[in-house]
Amino acid sequence: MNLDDLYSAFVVRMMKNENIQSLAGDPVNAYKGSSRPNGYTNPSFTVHSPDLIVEPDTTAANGTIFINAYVDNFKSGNANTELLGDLLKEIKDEFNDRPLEINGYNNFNLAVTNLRGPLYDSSDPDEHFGSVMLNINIVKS
Amino acid sequence: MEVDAQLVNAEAVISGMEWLTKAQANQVKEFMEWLMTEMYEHARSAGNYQDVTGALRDSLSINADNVKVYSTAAEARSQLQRNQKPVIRIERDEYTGVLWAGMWYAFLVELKAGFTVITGTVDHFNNLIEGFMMDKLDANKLAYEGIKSYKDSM
Repeated sequence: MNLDDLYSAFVVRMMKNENIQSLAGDPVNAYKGSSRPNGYTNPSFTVHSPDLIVEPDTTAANGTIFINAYVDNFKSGNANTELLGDLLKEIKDEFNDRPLEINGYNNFNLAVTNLRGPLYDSSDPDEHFGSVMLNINIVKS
Repeated sequence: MEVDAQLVNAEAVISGMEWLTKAQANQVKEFMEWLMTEMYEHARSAGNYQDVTGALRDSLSINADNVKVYSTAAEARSQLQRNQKPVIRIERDEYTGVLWAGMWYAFLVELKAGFTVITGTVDHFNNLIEGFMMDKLDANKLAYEGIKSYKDSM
């Protein structure tokens, strides 16, 4: 399958979600792939899959999707867990057991399996991030 | 109506069942050790990240008794032999295998940089694990076959 169609489906759903809009601003800064563009502002989001397994002799693919939410620290330097927690909850509610609609494909399973955060990367010291892990199963319709 | 039932040769039957139970438990343990070894090899070879020092690959562990976080490649390498040995945690009838990446930055490589460290391996082996476990349980096998037929019909 075209991975861009898959990532687009996630990004569009996040951008249309009113709860995410009210927390993160409209338009929602959601990006396909693990990197954000130069000059991004937080809150921001990325969607990527480390590995999508294509089952031999079928049209089925299954794997893991990570949706990351990035939030600026408080001025005191600690993580803004209030906002991060709310964003992770809204992402979970948006996608858990609510399959994607992708033209030509049937997403028969989409389940949140893990919420992680706040996580810290010293190369981006002014922010923390959280990650929503999803299991996805998809077949050609 | 009344039914009388009598278990003939009960002790022999029970001791036979104990032997069977032990044999099955050993099979599960052996399978788990084999599975974890295969997953370890897969994770070492399939990780698509650039491992300049080799530390991340060397920090992988399938030893449930040796789950540690390392800050240097030397620390990870000092545990390489122990970490390559599959050690399964057994509590009552629960068998737990561990696939662990020990370098402190492993989560950043997977979650932030977007490479697969261990998640891809878990996904890759998921079908195998499901197939094996559901074959052991007839009740679930129906569900498995149901899913398979559903997939085949798509």
